Amino acid sequence: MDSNVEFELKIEGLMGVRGYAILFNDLEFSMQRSTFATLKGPNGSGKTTLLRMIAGLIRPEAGEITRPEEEREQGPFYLGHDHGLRPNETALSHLRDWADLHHAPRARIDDAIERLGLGLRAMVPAHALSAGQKKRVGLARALVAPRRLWLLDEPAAALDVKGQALLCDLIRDHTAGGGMCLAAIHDPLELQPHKTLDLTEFQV
Amino acid sequence: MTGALAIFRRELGLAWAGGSGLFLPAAFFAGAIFLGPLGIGTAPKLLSAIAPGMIFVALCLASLTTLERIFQADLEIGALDHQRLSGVSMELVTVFKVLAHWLVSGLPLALLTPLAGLMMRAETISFGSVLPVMLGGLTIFLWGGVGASLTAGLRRSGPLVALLVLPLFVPVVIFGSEELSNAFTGEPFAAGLTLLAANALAALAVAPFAMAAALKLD
Repeated sequence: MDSNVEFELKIEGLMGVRGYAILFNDLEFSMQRSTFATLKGPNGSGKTTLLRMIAGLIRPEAGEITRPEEEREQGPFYLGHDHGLRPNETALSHLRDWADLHHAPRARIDDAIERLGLGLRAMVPAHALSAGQKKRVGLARALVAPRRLWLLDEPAAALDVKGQALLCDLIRDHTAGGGMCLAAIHDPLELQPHKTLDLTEFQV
Repeated sequence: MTGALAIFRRELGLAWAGGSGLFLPAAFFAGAIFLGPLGIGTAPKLLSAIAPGMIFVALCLASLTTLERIFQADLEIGALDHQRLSGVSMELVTVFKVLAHWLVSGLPLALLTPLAGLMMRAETISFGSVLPVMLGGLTIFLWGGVGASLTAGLRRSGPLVALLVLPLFVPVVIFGSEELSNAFTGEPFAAGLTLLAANALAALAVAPFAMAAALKLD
């Protein structure tokens, strides 16, 4: 290992605002490769805002975010509350479009569908899928077009016990391969995080 | 570019798969043209004189029935976030979304024009009459996309889109109905068609930047 640790994700003096309320201020956080970190905080503390800021979807009011080098052009992998599926779209066609949009080979799709246990449900329009199945489709995207940094907003919500175990496996594999994962969670996962970011520490 | 083409294909595929009101603007357009003679009377001279203007007004209104959906559907489900993170420039994403939308909902209106001319007792029914409505429709969809991007986060934004972009439709209606009237009377196209094309190109050059900027405001 390098003696001088290189941080791939670095957040300095970040301020998050919603409406007229300052959610957090002077937030400092850093992550290196192969790290799984959890993001904690009560409802409304700005977890989603922070994840969207790191993804680059919201411009910070103050402070700076340095993302992994290969993800400055293309964003990191972001799994939000919204499933991103049109009602008349099947998981299979969605993942095909996902691969094309991200210049990823379509050959990975079959494996991703199998890994997430979607099976024949991948052929069904999204309006006939359950919330947990849509979440699985969301996670399958990360396998189709790999990114170094995963930003997961309540990934375990709507997932059953098997699904949660699968999620832990996916995160473990991802970090083992040098990836990083920052997940906002309420109930702890079975997988122990290397690091925890508690937003209450940065409340104003 | 290939990423933007993927979005184009996705939009077309989903439109064909139904659920996005594919035939709604065409039905609205046909309905408006159909009601015209019923209200105005069937005097051929009167009808053929007002036909081009009526068709362009119907085109504007029919387009407005679908424009608000261009970005709203993807914003609501979070797909717009994915497109922003994909690394494809939002200018390309938005322009391809509008083009796909126009191809599915706008082009059929242009193809209906000869039929509308028949209803309105036009002297000459020719495929030339498709051209002004095609160019005008493309401009309307591009400017409409700007309105749709500004109001994408609002519920029931249709009337607001209409108010925002109707002023931008003025040149389209002026030059378009003039050229359509040339087509309906069997005369050759004049400078209006060039201006209509220039208008479409100007919209194509400006609208993508406006749409991308508006969607990033969020």
